[in-house]
Amino acid sequence: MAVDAPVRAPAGRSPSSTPGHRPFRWQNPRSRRVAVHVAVILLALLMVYPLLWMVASSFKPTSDIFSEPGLLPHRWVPSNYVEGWRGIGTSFLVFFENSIFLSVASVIGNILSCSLAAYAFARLEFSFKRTAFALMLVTLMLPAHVTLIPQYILFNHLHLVNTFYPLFAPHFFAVDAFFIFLMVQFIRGLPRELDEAARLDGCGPGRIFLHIVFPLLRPALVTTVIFTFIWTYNDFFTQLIYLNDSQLFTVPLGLRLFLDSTGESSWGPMLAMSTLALVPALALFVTFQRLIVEGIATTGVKG
Amino acid sequence: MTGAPGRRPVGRRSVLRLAAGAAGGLALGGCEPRGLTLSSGSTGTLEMAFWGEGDQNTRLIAAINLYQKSADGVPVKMQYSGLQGYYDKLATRLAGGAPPDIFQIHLPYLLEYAERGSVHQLDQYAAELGLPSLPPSVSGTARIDGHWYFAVVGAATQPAVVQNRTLLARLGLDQPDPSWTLDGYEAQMKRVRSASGGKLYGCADAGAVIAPLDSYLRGFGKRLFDGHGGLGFGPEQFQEWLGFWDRLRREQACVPMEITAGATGFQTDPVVTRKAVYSLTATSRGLPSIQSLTNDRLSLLTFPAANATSGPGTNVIPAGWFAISSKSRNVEEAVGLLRFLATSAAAAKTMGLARGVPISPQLQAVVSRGLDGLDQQVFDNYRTVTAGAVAPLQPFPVGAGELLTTSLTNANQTVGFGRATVQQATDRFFAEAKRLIT
Repeated sequence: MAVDAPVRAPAGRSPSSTPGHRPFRWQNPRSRRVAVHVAVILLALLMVYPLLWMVASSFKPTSDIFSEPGLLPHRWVPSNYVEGWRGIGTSFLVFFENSIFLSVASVIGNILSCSLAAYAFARLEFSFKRTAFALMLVTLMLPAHVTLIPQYILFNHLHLVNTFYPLFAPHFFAVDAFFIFLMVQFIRGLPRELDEAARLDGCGPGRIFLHIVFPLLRPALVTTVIFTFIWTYNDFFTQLIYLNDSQLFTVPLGLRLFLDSTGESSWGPMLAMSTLALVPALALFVTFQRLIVEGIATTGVKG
Repeated sequence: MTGAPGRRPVGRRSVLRLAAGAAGGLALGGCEPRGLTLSSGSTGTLEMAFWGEGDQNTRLIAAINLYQKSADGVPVKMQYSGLQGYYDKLATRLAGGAPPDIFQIHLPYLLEYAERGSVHQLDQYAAELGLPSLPPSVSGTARIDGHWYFAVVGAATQPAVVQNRTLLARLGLDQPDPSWTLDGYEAQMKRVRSASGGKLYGCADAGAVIAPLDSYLRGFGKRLFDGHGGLGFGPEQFQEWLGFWDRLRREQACVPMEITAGATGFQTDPVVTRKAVYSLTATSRGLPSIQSLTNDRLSLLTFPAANATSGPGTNVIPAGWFAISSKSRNVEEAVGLLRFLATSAAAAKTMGLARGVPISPQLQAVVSRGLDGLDQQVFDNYRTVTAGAVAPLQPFPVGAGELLTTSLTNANQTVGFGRATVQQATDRFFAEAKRLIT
């Protein structure tokens, strides 16, 4: 507002409009663009500062991280990465492997099961469809803590505690109502004429899904891939509850091994591994970012 | 959709396929089928859950490995982490019927777990675990209603005052006398403020820290809880306590409430961030933790006595209690492991002070050889405190956890932010105690 004020001021009283005076510099579109860019860059730096702090601190000795002001390390300690990678009893590589396995398996499960469930809700007619859909939506509102103990008892009876199954197997049974809802919205937006044309060509519901609906679901599927990957990769609580052996720990659990609020914490190695831990999720996000926006925008779930 | 032919020789799709292939290969094909074989509870293999930071865990793991190699040793599956989430997981495992054979536990939960039958009674193993020889100052926490439930590996002093010797020397101030009282404490903090020209505060705000409050009360022969579902002290003592810290804040002898409320752990402690010269940690084991976060030279002091006629301000607390699950099918083996950790010289030597100073004098002699500077201070501090009268610890009743974390913090903060008088905060605290403690 303050920037625009001189432009809107009455001509006779504005210094920029007085004959013989140089035009006020904000009137120059180039200057304005530069100023806006500088402001946006500063804002971006402010927002990205915690990330920069983390990366810079991952090269500092632990004794300097919180006691020395300034972003850049006085002493560079790349050994934080070596120490962190070596881990506490278990190499951090194991945690990365476990996290990526769980994330990829959960993505595959959600893609297959949620798309099938969404297709059924959006296109097929069956008994109690509305009730089933409502029940599915209710599960969205159910806090995870409510089902924690019953689920744990179930998996314990199946001898699946301290394995990866409780963490990825449910995704093969369409348990993520959010993604089903997202895909239902997307499928509802696809022209039914495509289904009818396929039906005329002899396709049943299965082939319509496989050849028509599934390929057209791509933006919603990409959204599902990204969010499932990131949510599984970042999940702490479920993995904490079900995994006991450190050989099965994932990245979030591995990072917690460096910290203890009651004792001496290895902040340097922890920040070094946190920096590395960002890479898979960041790479996935950067690669798919255009499709994420498309997916969100075309599924009607944007805020 | 497809784009012009030849427009993108190396397209996004190729890159994605390559990345997906690599990730999938790594995740699904390249590694052994870890975590995919069904688990089965086996008799003879112990599961032991504990928390701790790197060195604590590393040394305990080394001691457990020694046990596994010993003649009586059985295989042990060690399940360790930091404290965050530890009790969520333990509670879920207990409720879900799959508790570990042995688990670590600490003061706020001892009574709760014993009363609800989650831990195995150790009366018949008490002698071999060295429980009857525990000093009265800590034995009350291992024994509930006349029965032994918890094994103790080591102990530390609580609370501990951490002093920044570098800043103190820069200000030209002397160290306080170790037999100081709260009046002397206040005077020293004001000296720091004055000598630094208002640039440094004297100390961190410990108005809402349980261990100093506990020690303060024990100095008057009072306890936090009366053992019958109520508080063991009256409003007047609590008012004096809150009032003491309120006065220090007003005199700028301790850090303002904005700093205290924003502190989240050792990493934001005012001594680490160089805003104050003194800080308080729950136990003396906090010294190495804080020292690792700063290049300044730190040292340990005892907590001041309430006044010249009161008991000593510093007491002793086990650095960890270990319990055997009431559902364990390996009780004998679990007792064998705990006996090794609590009474074996080899275990004590391996663990050093990572799990506290061993309680038995014989084991203290074992660990005392070859201690480094910080550990030596922790050790000396323990010896000094235990040489005098040490008031007994007590297990906390159910509901005490919330009272001593949330309600105590609220009381100190509402006074510190000027939202309540000391009287109002005290009334609210006592009302909440009535509601929470059972």
